[in-house]
Amino acid sequence: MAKKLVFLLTLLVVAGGSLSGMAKAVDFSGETVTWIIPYRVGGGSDVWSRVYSPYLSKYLPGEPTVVVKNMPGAASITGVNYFHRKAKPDGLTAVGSSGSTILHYLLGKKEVAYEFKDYNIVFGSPVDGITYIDPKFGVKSVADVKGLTEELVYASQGATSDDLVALLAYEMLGMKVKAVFGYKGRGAGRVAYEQGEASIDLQSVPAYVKNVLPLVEQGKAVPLFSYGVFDEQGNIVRDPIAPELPSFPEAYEMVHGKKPSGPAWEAWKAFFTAAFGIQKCMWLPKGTPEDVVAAFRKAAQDTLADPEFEKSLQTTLGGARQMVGVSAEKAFNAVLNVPETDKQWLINWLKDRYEVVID
Amino acid sequence: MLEALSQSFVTIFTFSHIVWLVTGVLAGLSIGVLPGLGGIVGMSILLPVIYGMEPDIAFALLVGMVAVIPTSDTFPSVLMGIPGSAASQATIMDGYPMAKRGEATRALSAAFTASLMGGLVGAVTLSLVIPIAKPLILAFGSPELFMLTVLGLSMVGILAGKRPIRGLLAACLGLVIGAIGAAPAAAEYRFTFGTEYMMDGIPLVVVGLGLFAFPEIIDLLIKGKAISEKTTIGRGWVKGVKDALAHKLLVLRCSFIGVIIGFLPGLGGSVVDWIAYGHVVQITKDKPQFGKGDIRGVIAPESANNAKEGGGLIPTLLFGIPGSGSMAVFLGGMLILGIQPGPSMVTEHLDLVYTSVWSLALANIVGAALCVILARPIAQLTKVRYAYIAPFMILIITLACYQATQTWGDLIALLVMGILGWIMKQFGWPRPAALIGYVLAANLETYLFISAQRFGWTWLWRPGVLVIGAIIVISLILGLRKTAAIDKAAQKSEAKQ
Amino acid sequence: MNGSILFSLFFVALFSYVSYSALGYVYLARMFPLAVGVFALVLALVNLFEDIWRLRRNIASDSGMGLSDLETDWDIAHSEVWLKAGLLIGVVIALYGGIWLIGYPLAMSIFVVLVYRFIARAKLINSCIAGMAALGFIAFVAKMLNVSWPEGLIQKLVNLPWPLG
Repeated sequence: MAKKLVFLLTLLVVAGGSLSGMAKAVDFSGETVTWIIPYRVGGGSDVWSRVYSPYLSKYLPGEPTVVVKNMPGAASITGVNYFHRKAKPDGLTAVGSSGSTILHYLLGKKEVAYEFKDYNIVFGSPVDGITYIDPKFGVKSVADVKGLTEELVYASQGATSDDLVALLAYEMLGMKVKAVFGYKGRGAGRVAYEQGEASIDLQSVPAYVKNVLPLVEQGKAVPLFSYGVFDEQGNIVRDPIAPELPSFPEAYEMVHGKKPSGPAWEAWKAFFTAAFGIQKCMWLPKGTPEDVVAAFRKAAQDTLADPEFEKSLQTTLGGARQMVGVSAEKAFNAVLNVPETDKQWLINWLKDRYEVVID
Repeated sequence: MLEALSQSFVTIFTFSHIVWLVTGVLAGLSIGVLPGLGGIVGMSILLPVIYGMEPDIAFALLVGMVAVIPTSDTFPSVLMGIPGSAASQATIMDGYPMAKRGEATRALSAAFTASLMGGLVGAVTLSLVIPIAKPLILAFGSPELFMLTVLGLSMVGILAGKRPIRGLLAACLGLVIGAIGAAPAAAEYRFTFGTEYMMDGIPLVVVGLGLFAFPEIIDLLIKGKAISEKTTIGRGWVKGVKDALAHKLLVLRCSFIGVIIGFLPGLGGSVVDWIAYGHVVQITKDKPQFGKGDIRGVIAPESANNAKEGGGLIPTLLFGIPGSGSMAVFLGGMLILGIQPGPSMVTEHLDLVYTSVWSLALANIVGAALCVILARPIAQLTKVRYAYIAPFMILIITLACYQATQTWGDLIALLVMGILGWIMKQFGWPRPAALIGYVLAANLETYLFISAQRFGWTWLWRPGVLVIGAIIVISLILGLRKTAAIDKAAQKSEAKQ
Repeated sequence: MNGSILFSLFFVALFSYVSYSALGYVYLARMFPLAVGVFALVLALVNLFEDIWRLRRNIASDSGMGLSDLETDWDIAHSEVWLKAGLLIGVVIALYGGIWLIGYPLAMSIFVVLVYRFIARAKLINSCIAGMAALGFIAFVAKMLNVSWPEGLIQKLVNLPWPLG
């Protein structure tokens, strides 16, 4: 009897202990949070993470050090695979994804071991893009591309890069665009446009504002449409930074007279989400306790409210509306919920159009 | 413009700027001195530091660092026969034989003087070219860049050695190594043997250290002596300065080569030393001793590689298209500071552009001065028995390779490249040709495909293409005649003995 | 049959492989390696025949690189050079094995000590100082570059203190 009593008592103490442990607030005092960025130092994702990390450090409970760890390789697959295999769900390891991370995930490349369904999104940053065209074709707005018969040239990084979204968009608008592959990034693409090697181009909004607006003013470029941004409900709408330009869904309507639908549209939405709509996301591993996830989301929320950060957001990240927690989850659903048949449609399209075989 | 130039001159001499500039210079010198670590590593170390700094101070720090790496990377190239960074591979060819002969100090001081002058030319050109940079850059489309890549590759013709077939084969080997990994124009991974490591290709540092450093360490260990075959390292430091001054026209020409190659985005800085080296071989009229320790073979690449940083800043600042790996990181640094590169740099941030110019100039002066002071004590290393140095060299090269992707693949690739390089050296297969092929492979393929996809065959008739084509032909003819003459002279002198 | 010919054969094999596997890639990925591979294969065959021709005619292999590469003047027999090189490469492989077992920092430091003690024949105390210097350098670089070294088996079992772990 006495033994039983002791046993019960111990049980109670243990249970109480763990209960109080549960209730204890998340505290990272003296800890180091490692944020894996699967891209090289100085690249877009690296800059993004370095703008965020001091603020996350400031607003996470216990003010842990937040260290950015670059782990480039295999178009970001190496770093995220490492995260998938090694990260413990204790909030001390996070990963940043970017367009190509999710692109390869969507295309189902065999090297991809990671699974976004399992992870917890902290926040996501959209990057909008604007497509513009050489004025020599007489196109004044996107509605005019209907009658455009000439072949355009687009300087592209490759069919399985973020350019995929642009190439599919041109196709959906019925434009004849020849993609020339091999350019090293959108910067090189823009120079190719200015040299006359390309006649249609896409720039991210910050690069557009700095480098293409002067061309537009000189009459050397005509903006057609922006790709668009998500609103709170997860719809793709006009970019508040360039409100005069139609978003892609609007552009489609202007050209075809009806709202976009069908497998091409569903696939486009998923890939748009990956490459633009919520291009860069911070993730915590599978099984991270809810309170830890909540603490990270809170820290991201507080970061956005910081007036100092607001300045960096404008100058460095292009000032787009950042998405935290549930709204990021909602936007990312377009990636996770894309029907298998529509995904297959895209893979077939890539194969027919660009000889790309996904293995 | 002049006003802005003088204004930023005043700013750069404020106390905080000088402190950060010198910090950058010290960081750059210590990184450059370590074999295999170059501008990319330096930028990566400094990037986390600059967050929240005033942009002009951060620029002084970053530019100061990157400006002097090609100055101090001469130490391992000359003293150990190990490339200090990608920019000073060609310096080995004559600098190292000089060190073996006991003329390390002379080679070093000539190199530092040439570096200084090259760096200053780079800074001056940077400031002059900015107003006309845009049309210049736009004049070089993919076909022209392809032809420039071919021009770089034609240096193989000069460096092919006594059996030209082997030189060509070595270059092809380099091209194939360079083709490993993702194809530039298609979603395909080549020659990966199913490994994740090889999907991104073999990093430059692994190929460079594998082909050159590893065989040298093995050879010196087998010999079991000190590097310098003489017990003196020579007084030569005044002589070296005089050497560089005596060849001031050569320095000037090679500096311009460096600026132009740095300036043209996409060509990459890793060939600039070889092109300068090829150039000096072509134009030298008297009886040269290239490959055996000719001082001009040190001066040419060293003036070019410092000058290229001045050129390399232009496309980075004005177009946001970095020409080299370190400039790509620098671009990230600019974004972190909240500065979008672009044509507006000249209107909105002209002060920063000129801060870069002055930082570049000042850093080169400080860097060269420090290196000259350090030259004699560091050159003493060549008198130490190699068994004392070798383990540290192995430590440094494995470490430098490992930081490239931080996987076992780096270490294994280093060993494979090292064994390959050692055998090539034993059997007389020229490794420089292989390295040039490797460095240019990606550009060669990319620009050719872009030209062909975009223009069909018509690109061949573009005026720029024709001009560069003519330069290639002339350079090849000159170079081949020259090498033949050198070989002949060498045979004669052997016959006499 | 000598080493030089074997090495020339290696090039023939290499470029055959390159040309062959290039055939399996899509058009835009195929053309460049295929062109280089076939061109080099022809050259490699010519080179191989030249080697064999020289061997049969007893023309000493043309030593000396001119200005194409560095060269080492040997004062010992070539067979001895190869033997010693093989040994040294074996040492490096052993070092790699050590890294695999006990991790990079520890293996490298011990390697430095051993080389100092047994190859350079330095005093034990000096060897240990050299080893500590190596460890310090590794730790410094790891901090600066944010490098995580290859973990050895031992690090997986035991929690070693920084910088060894």
